[in-house]
Formats: sequence, structure tokens, C-alpha cells
Amino acid sequence: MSNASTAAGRYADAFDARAPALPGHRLAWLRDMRRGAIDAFSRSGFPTPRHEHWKYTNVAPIEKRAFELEAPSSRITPAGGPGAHVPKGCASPCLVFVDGRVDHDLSDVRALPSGVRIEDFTHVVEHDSGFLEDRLGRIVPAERTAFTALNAAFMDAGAVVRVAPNTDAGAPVHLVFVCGSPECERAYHPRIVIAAGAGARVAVVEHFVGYDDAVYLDNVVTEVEVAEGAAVEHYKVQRASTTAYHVAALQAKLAAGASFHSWAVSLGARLARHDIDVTLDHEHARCSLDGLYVANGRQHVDFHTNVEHVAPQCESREYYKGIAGGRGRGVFNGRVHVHPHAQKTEAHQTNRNLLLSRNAEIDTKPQLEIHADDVKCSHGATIGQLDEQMLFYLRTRGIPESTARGMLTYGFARDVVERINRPDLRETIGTAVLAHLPGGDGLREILE
Amino acid sequence: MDTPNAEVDALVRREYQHGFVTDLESDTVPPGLDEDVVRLISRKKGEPEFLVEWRLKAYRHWLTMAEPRWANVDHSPIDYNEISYYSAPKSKEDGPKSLDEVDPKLLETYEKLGIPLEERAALAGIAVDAVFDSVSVATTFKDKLAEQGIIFCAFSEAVREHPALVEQYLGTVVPYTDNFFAALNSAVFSDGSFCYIPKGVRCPMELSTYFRINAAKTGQFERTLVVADEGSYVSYLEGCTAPVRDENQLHAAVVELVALEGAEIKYSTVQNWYPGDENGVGGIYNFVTKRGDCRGDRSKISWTQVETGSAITWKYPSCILRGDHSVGAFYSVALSNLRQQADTGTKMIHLGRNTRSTIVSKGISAGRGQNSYRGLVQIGKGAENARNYTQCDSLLMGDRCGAHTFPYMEVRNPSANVEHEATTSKISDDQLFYCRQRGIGEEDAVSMIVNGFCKEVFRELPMEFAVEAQKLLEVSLEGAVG
Amino acid sequence: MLEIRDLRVAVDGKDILIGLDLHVAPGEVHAIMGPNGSGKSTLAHVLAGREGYEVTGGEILFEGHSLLDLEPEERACAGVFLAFQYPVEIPGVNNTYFLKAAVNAIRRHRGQSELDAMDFLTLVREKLGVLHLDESLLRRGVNVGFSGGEKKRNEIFQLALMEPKLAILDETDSGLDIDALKDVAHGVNALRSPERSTILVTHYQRLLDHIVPDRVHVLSGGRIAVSGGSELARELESRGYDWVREEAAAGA
Repeated sequence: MSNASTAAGRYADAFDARAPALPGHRLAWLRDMRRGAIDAFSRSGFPTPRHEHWKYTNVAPIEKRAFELEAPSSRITPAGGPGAHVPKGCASPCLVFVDGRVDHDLSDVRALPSGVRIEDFTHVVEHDSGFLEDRLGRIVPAERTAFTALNAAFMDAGAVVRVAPNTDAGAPVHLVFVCGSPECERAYHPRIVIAAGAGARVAVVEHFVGYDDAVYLDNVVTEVEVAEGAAVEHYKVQRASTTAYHVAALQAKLAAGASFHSWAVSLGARLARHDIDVTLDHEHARCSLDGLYVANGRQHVDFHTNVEHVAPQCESREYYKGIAGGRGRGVFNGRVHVHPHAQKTEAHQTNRNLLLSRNAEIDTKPQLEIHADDVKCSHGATIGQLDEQMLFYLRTRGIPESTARGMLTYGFARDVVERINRPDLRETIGTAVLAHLPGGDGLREILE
Repeated sequence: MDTPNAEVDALVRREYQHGFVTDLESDTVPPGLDEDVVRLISRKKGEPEFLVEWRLKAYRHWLTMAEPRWANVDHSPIDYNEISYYSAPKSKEDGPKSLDEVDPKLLETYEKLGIPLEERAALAGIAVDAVFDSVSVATTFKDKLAEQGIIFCAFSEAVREHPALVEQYLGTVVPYTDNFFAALNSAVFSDGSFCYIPKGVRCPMELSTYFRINAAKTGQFERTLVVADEGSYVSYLEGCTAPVRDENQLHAAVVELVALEGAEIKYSTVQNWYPGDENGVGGIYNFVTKRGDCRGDRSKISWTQVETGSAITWKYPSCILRGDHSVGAFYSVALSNLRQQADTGTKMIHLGRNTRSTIVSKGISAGRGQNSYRGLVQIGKGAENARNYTQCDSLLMGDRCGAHTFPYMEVRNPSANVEHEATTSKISDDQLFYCRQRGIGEEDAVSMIVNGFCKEVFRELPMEFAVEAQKLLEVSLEGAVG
Repeated sequence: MLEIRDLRVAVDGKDILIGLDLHVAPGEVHAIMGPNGSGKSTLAHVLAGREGYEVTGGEILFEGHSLLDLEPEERACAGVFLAFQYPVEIPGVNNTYFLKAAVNAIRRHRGQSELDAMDFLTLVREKLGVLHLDESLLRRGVNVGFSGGEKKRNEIFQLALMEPKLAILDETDSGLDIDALKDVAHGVNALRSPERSTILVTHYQRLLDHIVPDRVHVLSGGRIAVSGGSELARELESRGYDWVREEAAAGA
């Protein structure tokens, strides 16, 4: 038996206890996959800052906590009910998960265009396991990190979005995860699978929200398969409770001529870690990765991106901005790897950071590894503060200093918001972003 | 190479120009390392007690350490017991009293290397300290410098003549605990240069050290210490070459710079150790720790390096910007051709207020070379108004080489401005065609473009070395296009 | 309106103004001229409260109260407006938001009700026409992508919106073609009133052909060397600044 005094041992024991109740327990391939994953986790344990990829992010607080892995039998609903936590603008189609389970009252996936399927992960496991057998773990291997291993072992919720070839899914698909249980500290392991057929188009928005003061762990894995000529937009709005932990791995695999756009904003959580990986292993694939992270109070937020340019003539663009105030810490690590023979690669990366307070910290590491010569690659990173000249200009126009700072901070973040391709999302997400920025409260009246 | 062109082929095969072996009788300690060898080295050099003890502490610490593996380089394991830790030309046993007593063969060696010793040194206005294998063989202009109170001599001589200064500063910038190779160096360092510029003195000439590894199966572990006292200035150059040998040789040097209040040190390196052949056989493992401490306010340290040689280069000349208003700079051209691997860069540690640093790194990859820039810019909590600008450009020639960038930026003060830019490019066919259409041959066009690429760094080198660096680059790149 | 007495200002330890006196009565337009480096822009920035200028002596009274104790935004609310020589570009901050924030900050200070979006837009459109500014500028970032002329017109447009008591125009004429110059002059003249004073900081006389000042002062050696009526500007145009310097030197 496992050593229950270590985190790895604790999780292994929990797995033994919980395995029979996990979705798809009857399926041998899934049982094997889960078993392999928990074994991999038992071997690796949680990473420490000695691991290069976790140099600036210490997950010891996650390791120390004994999160519950299943839903408590009784449920106390917080004030206003979970519905109050569903973000504005989450129109149909929309799949809402409350405390790890689909809430059918809040969800609405009825009127979908033909060729578009949006289903609960557990439902697909039960009724269409063949689809998942071919895909789960193919894009994000279970053993990639300790967290992906845990997700693979325990995944029991999530969504599967399928779009048939040459189909435009139309309005963005909202996946809303309302997390946190008032009764216990829980860990959630949602798995999201997005598969766009050849020439299909779809936009998916992942929302993570949490109850105030709830302590929990989101450990999300999202696998995106973009077939030939298809275009997938993936938006992520992370507004977990500031007492919670949020770890997410998003990976996309692109076929020839496919395009993938990831847009992410990280506003919540005590500690948030976002791993975004894109593999461009077929010609003429394109990806753009945009993100905004805000670390305030005692928040710690970390973005790790990795773009693998395997095939020639692919293009990647990254644009990330970070804001650290209070005692917050923002981390960015952007790796671009151009493989031998990936000629005519174009890869550009920008990371700009705003450091607003004495006790905040920004660590950034843009990273290029290039093994082909006919390429255009660049990265730029800056860390600075609000421009004194701009501040003075605003103040000479009668705008109080705090408002002026808020405006400039928003001005800094704004071009990331403008990279949202869908106008309706830009509107709703922009407002959410604004509310969370340092000094954002004072601005709302101006921007109404 | 892609083009089976006889001419290009010939150029590719062109041999390492400095690869001759000097036929000298050497006094070489048998390979292997233990406390006795450390004591033996110390005894041979007649060192005082504090230094023996320091070496032994370093050795014991080294035993507890593991060879670093994080660099983006790949080599077969080094057997530290296969290396001889001390080699001196035998005729030097009693030490030459003047240049006339130096073995003429040695002088001939330096001549072949194009080192301006003797009169040529005077013409070039350079004082030269030459380190041959492990010992310093000649220092020119010592007397002239002494008139101004400048001490410039072999490290071993400094240990004998100025033990207090050595004891005061040795290991204060790079402690023996710093890293694996620094610990090894601290235990077994044989010689190197020592330089002290007194208060307010502007050193009237470029000081220069030439290092050469001659003996087979020896490692070179020189140690350089430059101390610039308040308000002084010195420009210091080092050059390195080694003969062609088909086994790898280890060079693990340590350079420590100390700049006190208002002092400025310019440290330039032209490194042309034997790079090995096109199959990766032989060549120097250049594992060097270089660090400068801007200890005083308004002090300034600038590193300029042109790294064309060595099979593997692992070095990060760094600046600790401790004093308020202190300034650090790092200008680097690193070339990896053949199967060379270079993992080089810098660390700028901002601690004082109003500190500034500039990093300009130009990496050139050709053949099957792998070139990595690895740098750290760290702004401490108390470093008000710190500024850093980093520019990091890579030039790729051929599709079997690699160019990599690993910059780390850690900022803990909200008044800091840190900016990093990196680009990657190749010499475009259009550029080449344009030059050729104007009658410029391909090789010339390439070297023109490469020189343009490196200009910002060459500009930082003293004139005569800029010319040498440019030539070196041309020679090292010959045959890289095709 | 404005009373400056023996003003001394240093920048980075270097004395720029060494005893400047200036009295501007309500309704007056004063031109401050002088060669490059005479401290004209320093004066403009000190009045607006720019950091980095050390006031080492003297006082500035605005409507009887010291300006020096006020933050830049407090000065703006009190009615001091600076049209910048180099208007600052602020990417990401929409011009409309910015203008609305500014206008309402000042209205709040004056005890007026804040303008709602409709009233604000009506006001803005009215003023835009006067300066021949395109409405599309409102949708861009503050000064971002504006041409040199547009930036200067935008400054005067803001002046018109904010209706200050004291307008300071710092080299507003530099880099303007004749049409833009006329628009700017027209904008400023339209705002002339018995309650509003204006200080024009300029190197050349040509702006003064269009905005006729009541008084002209020549700044030299850190203080006002010569003062006169609008004819002084024309004299400077024909004779240059050297004689002023000489006279100032002789006087000192």
C-alpha cells in the first residue's frame, strides 16, 4: 500500500478508494489510463521549484492541502444560488457545472446548429466511449505533468464539444464552472475535449468562477483537435475565488492549414498556473496566443506557453501582458521551439508587464530554441511601470491621480481585450477585466 | 555542406590556424587529483599558509558538488582523474628574470600567435602577461606601470609579493562554493594575472594576458583578479589559443573583478581555443566563471567578448551592481561552427539605486554549431530606478545549426525598467545576390554582413583587437556558407 | 488672476529661472517670448505642477492662493490649463473616455452636475466643428496616431471643453501649417473673455499676428528682460533676440 504521509501516497490511496465510482470504470482502456496516470503521479509527486518549469511557482500549498475528491452528499447552496455566479453574457449555448456536476436548469444546449454537439463528459464516457478512446490523452499525455496525471486519474466532469466538418458552430459555446463547496475543500478535475472537423469553425469560452472565500483546486485539462482548415477560438476567463487554486493545461494539435486562437485572462485564484501548448506539425498551420494576467493582493499567477514548430511554413504569434500590484507575483515563460526542417517558420512573441507596487514581483522568461535557418523569430519582453508623462498629462486635465492610474492601467490592458475577435465577448469580458484591475472601480462610471 | 563545391570544401577543411604544438620540455604533474596534488601545486608555487588552506577547503567542497547539467550543451563525461593539474615549461623551473631569458621557442610561439610581446608590445601600447599552460612566463612593462603604483604581474608573483592584497580580495567575488568549476579552479589554479590599479590612477595602457594550452592532457585553471581602487580606470584584454589535439582539454578559469567607488574596468576577451574538428573530435572545454563586483558607488564594469573557439563554451561574465549609480555592460559575439557548442550570456544583478545595465549579445550559428544565450537580469527590492536593456540577436547559417535564447528577468522593484528584445535572422539570398551583383564575392559578402551584424560589439573592443576579432571571425566562418 | 513673484526654479540642480516676476490681470493675453533655453517651457510646466522642477524661491499666486501647494489635477480643477508643446500619446485610453473624465472632474469641482453621455457628445460635437477636427479622433487612443497638427488642435479643443480661467499655451504654434495655425488662433480668440486670461509661450511672432496680446515679455537669463505691448513682438521679429540679451546683460 502507499505511504499515506506523502501527498503522492494520499492521492494513490484516494484513487484506490474512488476508482470504482469514477465514470467509465467498466471500460478497460479508461481504467488502464487512470491507473497509468496515478502511477505516473506516484512516481513524480508534485513538482518543486527545482524543476525548471516550476522555478517561479511553488505548488507546496496545493501539496499540503488534503482536498476532497468527491462531492459531499448534502449540498448547501450559497446566497443567491449558483445561478448568481454564472457570468453575464453566457447566452445559449451554455453548459453550466455547479460543484463538479452539470446543472441542467442553468444549462442550455438545445438549439444547436446541426453538426454541433455539446455534451457532458460523463455522458460521452457512458454513451460514446469510442470517440474518447481515440482522443483522451492523445493531445495532453497523462504523464506530462503531475497535474495532468492527477486529472487523467480523477477526471469525472467536463465537456465534449464536437463540430462536424465544414460547419460553423455560430455563437460561442460557454462552459461555466462554478466551483467551491461551502462544506469542504474540494479538488475538481474537469476534462474538456474540443474537436473541430475539417473546415469547421467554433469558439469555446471556459469560465471559472468560485464562491467567495471557498478553498478548492481546479485542475483542468483541455484537449483541442483542429482538423485541416478548421478554426478554433478558445477563450478562458479565470475568476476563481481568491482563496482557491487554479491549475490548467490547454493543448492544441493543428492539422494542415488549421488555425487556433487562445485568449486567456487570469484574474482570480490565490495561485493560478496556466500551461498552454500548441503543436504545429502540419504545414500552414497558424496559432495566436493572447493573454492578460493580474496578480493583486497575495495572488500568484503563472503563464507557461510552449509552441512547437515541427512543420515548415507555420506561424505563431503570442501577446501576453501582466499586471502585478499589492504583494502579487506574475510569471511568464514563453517557449518557442523551431524544429529542424521547420523552414519558413514565423514566430513572434511579446510579453509586457506592469509592476505597480513595492512588494509585487514580475518574473519573465521568453525562450527561443531554433534549429532551422530560414525563419523569422523574435521575442520582446518588458517590465516597467505607468508612464509619468502620461500620468501628468491626465492630471493637468483635472483627473485625480488614482483615477488617472486606473485609466492608464486599463489602457495598458486594453489592447489584449481588443484581441478578442468576437464583439459580444469583447464587451462582456472587457467589463469583467476592468472590474478586476487595480483602480478599475473608479473607472466604471466613465466607461458606462 | 550542401554544395559539393571543391573550393568551399577546401575552405571548410582549412585547419585551425593556431594549431601548432610547441616542442618544449615540460614539468607536468601526473594526472589525477587529491589533497596531495593540491598541496603539491601550492608548494611548487611557494604559497603562504592561508592559500593552501583556502585551496584545500575549495577541494573538499568540490568533492561534495556535482557537475552542472543545466546548460544547453552535450558532452561525454569528463574524467577528472585523467587530467593533469599542473604543467610548466621545464626550462622555466628557476624562472626567467627577463624576456631575454625566456625560452626562444616560447617567444617564437607568441610570435606565431601574433602576440605583441617586447617591442611590438610597446608599439601597440600594451602590457602583456602571457600564461603558457599553467604558468605565467613573461610580463612586459611591469616597471613602467609600477611607477604609477599599478601592479600587473603573474598571479603567483602577486601571491609572493602582495599577499595582503590577494588575501583581501581573492574569492570575494567568486567564492569557491560558487559552482563546480569555480570550486575546482580554487583548489588547483596554477597561475593567471593579477592587477591592482591604485586610487585615482588611469592605467595608461591596455593590460593584456595571453593564455595558451600547450601540453597534452593538461587542464588549464588560471585565475585572474583585477582590483580597481577608487576613481581608477583600466582596460584589460585577454586572448586564448590552444594547439590541435584530438582529445578534449579542460579550461576552467575564474576571473574576479572588483571596482571600488568611481572606478571603471573594461574587460575584453578574444577567445580562440581550439574548437575541435568538423566531426567534433578534440577541442577545449571552456568552462569559465567570470564575475565583476561594482562594489562602490558610480563604478562601472564592462565585459566584451568575442568567442570563436572552444568545443564547448560555458561562461556568463556577470556584474553585481552593488554600488549606487553603478553601471554594468556585456557585449558578446559568440560563434559556433563545426560542432561547437556555446552556452554563454551574463547576469546583471541590480542591488544599488540608479543602477544601469546593457546587454548586447550576437550569436552566430553555422555548420552544426549550437549557440545559446542564457542571461539573468535581476532587480532587487532596494534597486530604485534600475534600468536594463537587453538585445539578443542570432544569425543562422545553414540548416543544421541551432540558436537558442534563455533570458530570465526577475524584477522586485516597481521603479525598474527592463527591456529585452531578441531576433533571429539569416543571411538572405537577396542580400547575397545584391552584393554579388555588385561584384563582391560570396565569402566577402558573408563576412561583410556578419561584421555588420557584430558591429555593436566590435565597437566596444580596443582598436587593434577589433581588427583581430574581425579576422578571427572571418577565419572561423570560412566555408560556413554553401 | 496670476501673480508670480521672484520665482526661482532649478532642474537637476541647475538654475533655470532666477527671479521671475509676472502679473496677469483677468481678461489679459500675455505672450512670453525668448530664445531657446531661456526657460519659457520651464515656466509653463511649473505653473501646471510638473514634477522634476524644483522651486527654490518665490511664489505663484492664482486668484490670491498659492498654486505651488496644489497637485496638478487640483490646479486643473482650479482653472489652470496647459496646452502641451508635445501632447502625450496614451495608447489604450480612448479619447472620449478621457475627455469625459476630465470635463466631469472639473464640473464636479465647480459644483456643477456631471454631463451624461448625450449632453457630453453634444458639447463635444459643437467644439469639434470650431477646430475642424474629425469626429473619428474621438474613437482613437488619446493623441495616438494623431498628426502634429491634429495634436495641437486637440489641445485647443480640450481648452474649449474645459473652459479654464487661465490658459497656458506652450509653443502651440510650433510645427503648424497656416491653416492649423488659423484654427488654433480662432479657437483661442473665441475663448477670450474678461474673466479668462491667457499666456502664450512662443518663440516666433507669427502666432501673435492672429492672437494679439496685451503684453509681451521677453525671457532671457532666467528672468523677464524686457516687457512691452504687442509692438515688441514685431521688433523682435525684425531685430532678433541678441539685443535683448545684451541689454539684459548691461542691465545686470
